[in-house]
Amino acid sequence: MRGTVLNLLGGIAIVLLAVNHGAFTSPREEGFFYIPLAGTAAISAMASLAASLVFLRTRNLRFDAAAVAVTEVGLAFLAAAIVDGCCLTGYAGGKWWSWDSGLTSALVCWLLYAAYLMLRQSVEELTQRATFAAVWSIFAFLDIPLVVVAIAWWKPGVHIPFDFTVARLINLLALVLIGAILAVVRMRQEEARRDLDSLRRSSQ
Amino acid sequence: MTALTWGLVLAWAILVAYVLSLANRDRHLRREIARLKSMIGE
Repeated sequence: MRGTVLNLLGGIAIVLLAVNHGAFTSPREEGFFYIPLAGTAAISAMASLAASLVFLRTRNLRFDAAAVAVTEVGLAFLAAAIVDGCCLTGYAGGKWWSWDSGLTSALVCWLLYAAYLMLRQSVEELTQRATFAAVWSIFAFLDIPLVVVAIAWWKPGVHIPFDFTVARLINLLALVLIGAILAVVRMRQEEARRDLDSLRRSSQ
Repeated sequence: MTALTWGLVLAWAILVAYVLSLANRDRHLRREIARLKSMIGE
């Protein structure tokens, strides 16, 4: 049943992306993939914050698994957004990387969430790992408003209007669907890994 | 190929690489579960 729902959502996402692909040829839609990618990463960060807060309150490890799943998926989307942003600046100004507010703050954000995953690798005990990671996730989320403020205060070298046109909204919806599917798959893996670890420990 | 197209291709390449890494981890997990099951069965 769950697999059928995921397949259905994946199918909807593919149809949306395919139908929307025509917008790519329009010069006005330079950020037609960049903005939705960044938007999906921001939504993932919000989901990670919510899951971390709920974990700290309930101590239910399911929410920790949800937090790590959405964080990892968000990191992949943010990496794609940064690379797409580099290509956009290359397209507009001929320079592939400029230390402007948009790209630099996004890179700082990426590094913060990458540190979250590294932190998880370094703590052995399950509850302690989940607690440290949840606190770090809340701290990392503070960077998201900073990214928005940085872009508003120090205008980036290449200005992509941050408005949601129909094409961008359709892409955002499709990418959020893909992100949700990946997060569910990753969450299942995390839970299976945790069960496996505890089984291994009990068998020793 | 314009930089705009490169952006699209590279962004998708990153997402596809992530999906492949998920599939790889899934395979590894299944192998681990099968190994543990056979250990319990012995």
